Amino acid sequence: MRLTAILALLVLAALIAFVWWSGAYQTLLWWAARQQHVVQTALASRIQALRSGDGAAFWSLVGLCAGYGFLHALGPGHGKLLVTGGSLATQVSARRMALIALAGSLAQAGAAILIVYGSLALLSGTVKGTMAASEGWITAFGNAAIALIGGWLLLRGARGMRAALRAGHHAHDPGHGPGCGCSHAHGPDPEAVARAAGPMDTALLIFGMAARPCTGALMILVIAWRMDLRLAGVASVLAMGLGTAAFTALVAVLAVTSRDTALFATGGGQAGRIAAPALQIGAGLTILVIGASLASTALPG
Amino acid sequence: MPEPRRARFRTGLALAACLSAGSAAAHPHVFIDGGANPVFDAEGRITALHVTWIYDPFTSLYMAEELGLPSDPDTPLSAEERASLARYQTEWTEGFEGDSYLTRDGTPVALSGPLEADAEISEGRVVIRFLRRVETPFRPAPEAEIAVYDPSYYTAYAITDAPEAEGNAAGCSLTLDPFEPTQDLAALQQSLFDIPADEDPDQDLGGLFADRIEIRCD
Repeated sequence: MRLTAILALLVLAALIAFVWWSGAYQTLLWWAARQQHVVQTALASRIQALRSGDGAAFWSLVGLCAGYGFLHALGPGHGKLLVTGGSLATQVSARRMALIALAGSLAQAGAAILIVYGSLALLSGTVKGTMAASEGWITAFGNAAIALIGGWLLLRGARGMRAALRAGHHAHDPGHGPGCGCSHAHGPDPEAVARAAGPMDTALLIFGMAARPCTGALMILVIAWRMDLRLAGVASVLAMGLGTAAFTALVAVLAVTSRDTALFATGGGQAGRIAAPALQIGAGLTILVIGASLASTALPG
Repeated sequence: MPEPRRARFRTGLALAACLSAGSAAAHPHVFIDGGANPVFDAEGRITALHVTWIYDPFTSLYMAEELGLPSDPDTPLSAEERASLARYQTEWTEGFEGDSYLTRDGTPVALSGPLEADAEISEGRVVIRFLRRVETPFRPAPEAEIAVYDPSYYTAYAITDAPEAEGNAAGCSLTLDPFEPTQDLAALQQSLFDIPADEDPDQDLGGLFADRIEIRCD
């Protein structure tokens, strides 16, 4: 069984490498971009139709927005990064992670609505100022939040690693004979506690996804606001969020399955004990590095 | 087991590098059709590029709303509105290379910023035309190439206007070489392999997908 798991991981890694190096992934992105061009053209025509009083255009607009969200999610993005990192670094179930992806995508839509409508209505801001703010300091804030989440996972991974190494040391204690069953857990060890995905992690992941609004959503909200199609704008952006969530949830399921397979493959010995915190450290470090590099490139100057 | 752990760490860093580049790019939001035509002088040298950008209708709608221009297709813009649209379009931020690239026998040729800009909204799409001057006019013999792309792939360009030489282009031929995923896959793979390990693999994603115009003169 363990051999099967190792083989499955190797096949998955080979598949990912093949998809990348064969140019298939890049070609997929190119294809998705072409489809998006078609979708954006249709979006504009539905908005024009809605403005000229064609009520039926509302539903085709909402449907198109869901497609836009899905196509957009095919490219790499911070939501998929957080979901993958969160899946690898915690013991959350695939079902729960998919729900977190859904909540995060909808929260991102909600944040876009809040930013655009809030700024234009309450603060009577200008469109230019709103867009500059959301692509400036709001995005910078989101990047910093992502880096912090990475740091948080890294810290906990390091703690878990220390606990695991100590436990490993304990396993060599002469008091334990061979076959004593050290591999199974003796109650809630500190490492497992450190890896549990509590409400804090869930909230952080959802917040991290929401903190960087999507340009497409901002654009459609600005258009809807200026054209007095405000409800349609809200419905469109929520539909975009659902489309994004559909693909991000797929990524979440894949990431959780990979994690479970990896932990199963490393087994219950010392390798298995350090595998979990090592995954957490890797995921935390990756998110930290990306968040920090995004934050540094997004800084004005 | 230091070996696998180090390998995992390296893999993590490589993944981080490609994701960080990818999350900034690989996400076109704006789509621009049009073209970039070479302008020849009387001696048959290239002196400028005549660039046309035709924005997708969604981005056009957004721009019209942002600038407070009439965005329904039936209202023509006034001269003043056209001027303000052209101004908005040609205020390039520092570091923006203009997304049109001219090379002479493979060497980049310096181009000016946008000149003589004119803008309109036609069939719900913002259209802008401008010139970019070549610092030192040259005869594209044996060849020159115009490529239109945004390196970060935030904007996806396509050359949809058949390339056409302006001025005295006697003895020269223009060929459009659009990106074709099946035909250009081998080149794409090669460029993926050629990327040095310390560079972002996605930094030139737009360049990989670029449509190009080849100019050959006797």
